[in-house]
Amino acid sequence: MTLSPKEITQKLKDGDRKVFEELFRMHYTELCLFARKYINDMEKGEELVQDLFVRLWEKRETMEFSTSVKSYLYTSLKNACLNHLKHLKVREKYQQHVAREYKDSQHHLHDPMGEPDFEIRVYGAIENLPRQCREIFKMSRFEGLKYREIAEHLGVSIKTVENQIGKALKILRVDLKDLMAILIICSTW
Amino acid sequence: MSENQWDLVGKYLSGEASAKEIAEVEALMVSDEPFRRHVEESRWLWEHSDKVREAEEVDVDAAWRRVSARIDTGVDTHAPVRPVVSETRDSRPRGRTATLPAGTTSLAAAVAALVMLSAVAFFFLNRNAEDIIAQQTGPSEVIELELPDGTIVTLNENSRLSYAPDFGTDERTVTLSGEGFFDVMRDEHKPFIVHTEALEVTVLGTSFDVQAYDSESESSVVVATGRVRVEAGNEEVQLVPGDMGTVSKSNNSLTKGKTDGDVRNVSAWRMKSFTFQNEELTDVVENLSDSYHMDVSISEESLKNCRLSATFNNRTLKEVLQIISSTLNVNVEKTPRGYKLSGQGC
Repeated sequence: MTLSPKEITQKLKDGDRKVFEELFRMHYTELCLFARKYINDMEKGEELVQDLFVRLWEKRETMEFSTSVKSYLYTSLKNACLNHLKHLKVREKYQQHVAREYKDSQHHLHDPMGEPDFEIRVYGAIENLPRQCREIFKMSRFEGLKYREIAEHLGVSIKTVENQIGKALKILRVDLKDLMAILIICSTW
Repeated sequence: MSENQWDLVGKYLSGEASAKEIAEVEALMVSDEPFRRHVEESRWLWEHSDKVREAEEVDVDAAWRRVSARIDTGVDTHAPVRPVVSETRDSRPRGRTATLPAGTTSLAAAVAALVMLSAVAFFFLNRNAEDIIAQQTGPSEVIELELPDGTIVTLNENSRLSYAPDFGTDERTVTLSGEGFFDVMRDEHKPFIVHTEALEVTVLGTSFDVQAYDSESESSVVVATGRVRVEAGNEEVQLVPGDMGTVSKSNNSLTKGKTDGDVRNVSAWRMKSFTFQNEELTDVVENLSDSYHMDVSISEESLKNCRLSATFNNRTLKEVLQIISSTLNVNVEKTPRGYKLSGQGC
């Protein structure tokens, strides 16, 4: 889909269900990762993201998006996460230390890089790898399979697996160069 | 760096390298600075990619089917539905749903939110003298609502507030199940009365918190400002700020005591928190309207692009708007269903 943010907003307001679905599929996983960053709970994060999209659809006609639907989604989700955290704290409402604890949890939320979405960048970069390269990288990294097992599973040579993993690293490094530069400097301090 | 070298780094990181290859990598890291940097970066990447492993388990198709169904039917097919829109005078308030399947709580909350919206619509479409206007919250949901007399009620999760359509004509009576914080508009001629299963609270103009969940053995009233009268059975007590009146359901006895801790903590649940970083006022307002379930609007086009960076902790909507008002030099005006911002622009 190559629509400008403005076109997306307009089509959404007009009730274009296809555009809404595309928007959902394009951002869903990333938004879930974003939520997890705040609330440390993937399942709850998924629920919050689904609630968010239902609300977006319900209110699409009257909603005003100053910048883009995407920025609306991230801002709303962030606040939904903060309020969820807040709610967890509020359950212990008669306890005096509520306020202090909340302050502590706020503290964790401040990403030292000011970039709470670096996991999203990593995820996006992996998703952007060429198909075979991505498949092999994930099997090695996420499923913990040996090169030999991957080769057997896909019916390719071990050499191919080696090449594809090397290629994945090479591409990912270029894609995420800016991110790694910051993080590596910080971690050596 | 050659492709062979990248393959070597891959084997090194994934534990596939032989002893000879490991030695080769380590020697190169000493002699070849760019190579060392590439290995370090790749190692970082390798380690951090593990954190997105969970994203692999996200089932976008299933999630889309669920969202799609919720939009089409207005309900979540996977969560229990709480059908509360309007009830006749003699029906009992519903208790809180005690047994929800694990993982469905916030879905139920979303359903309750939708139900609430339809309740509002119903209120305007069907003004029938016999109908009672009801608002209900689901798990994890806190809403702020304004009664016809200007009284602001913050309804905690799993709570229900109802009143007759002629509220305010002769008397101001509401029925509560669950917990609510009442900031009562002063009117000496019409006392404000909160009914719950176990007790009745009468006030003129004040703010107080009533906790009366059907599932709990005690109901309580805590006063923040002013003076209130609490009646239960044949007993009656007067409460002032810091006092707590408690009714035990087992023997129906009414006792007066002091709140443990800070009065402010008693209603801490009604406060919300937000962080905005250089965000346009339109987005900010959209967020606030959404979260407090109040209608916040901007009257001038020129204001919409004002940008705001702020963190609000434990604030009511009114407090948040007051801060915005002084930060951006805008006027805040009360409207029937919320607030309106106006001003010169930034």
